Amino acid sequence: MTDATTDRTPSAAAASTPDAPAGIDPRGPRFGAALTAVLLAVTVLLGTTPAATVLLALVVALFAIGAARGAQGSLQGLIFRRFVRPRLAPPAELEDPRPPQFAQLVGLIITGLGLLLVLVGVPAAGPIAAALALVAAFLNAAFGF
Amino acid sequence: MIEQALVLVALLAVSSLGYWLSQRRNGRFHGPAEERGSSPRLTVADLGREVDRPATFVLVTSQVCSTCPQVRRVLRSVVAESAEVDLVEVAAEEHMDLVRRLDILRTPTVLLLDGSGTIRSRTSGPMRPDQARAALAALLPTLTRS
Repeated sequence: MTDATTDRTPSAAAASTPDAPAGIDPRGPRFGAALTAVLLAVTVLLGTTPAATVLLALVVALFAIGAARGAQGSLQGLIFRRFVRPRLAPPAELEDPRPPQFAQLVGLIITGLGLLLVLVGVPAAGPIAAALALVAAFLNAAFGF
Repeated sequence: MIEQALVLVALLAVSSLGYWLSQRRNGRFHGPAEERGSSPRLTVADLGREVDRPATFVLVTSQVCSTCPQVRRVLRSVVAESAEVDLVEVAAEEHMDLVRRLDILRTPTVLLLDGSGTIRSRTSGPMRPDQARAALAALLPTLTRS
């Protein structure tokens, strides 16, 4: 991408660089994390049953979508935009979508590893991975951490 | 099932407690004792301009920093309350040598300099106006309001 003013020296101000993506409503990823936390809590409560494994696989798939398309592109993001945001006032500030997307990747790795271990015969890995991901999703949803 | 539910609740309670404890340090300025002379000094080479007021807040930001706008707002409003206090913003990506020299691990990090550019206290994370004012009061007990 060429820029006619390439000789401009970078300023020390905190303005976003030209390649920073558009901001998103910061409440979207937090709502998504709340939904994910509920799914993960149920997964933990189902223990090592086949239903728990199915639910864990669902959570892995949701994280995969979020990691690829960003939190705003996930199914939870879609639900937020369709059903929740119309009922809210516009956001006071927009946030960079990359940290929530990275958080989705972290969730994918944790739950993906758990699912993998369950499938190769380590059933305890399922609830443990779900519990770890649940703590992260809960802190994100409740405190924006 | 009820046992697992209790374990779950306990897990979330412990996580919340851990989170609350880790967040208490946010915005709380801590600094070297006045007697120690080894505190680093920032100069015009570090900041891009002269230190010319009795107190200067240095806000170290980065591109991906969700709480930086909030801290910037708080500092601007506190600085506007007095002609003796200044605010300088430094982008971490453009001052990596400074970041390394001062062991800055997190943004936003706020340094409070005295009139000679010596760092007298610092903090990081979200900040309330009263925390900034308290740090100023500790540095400049006779601070006048403009």
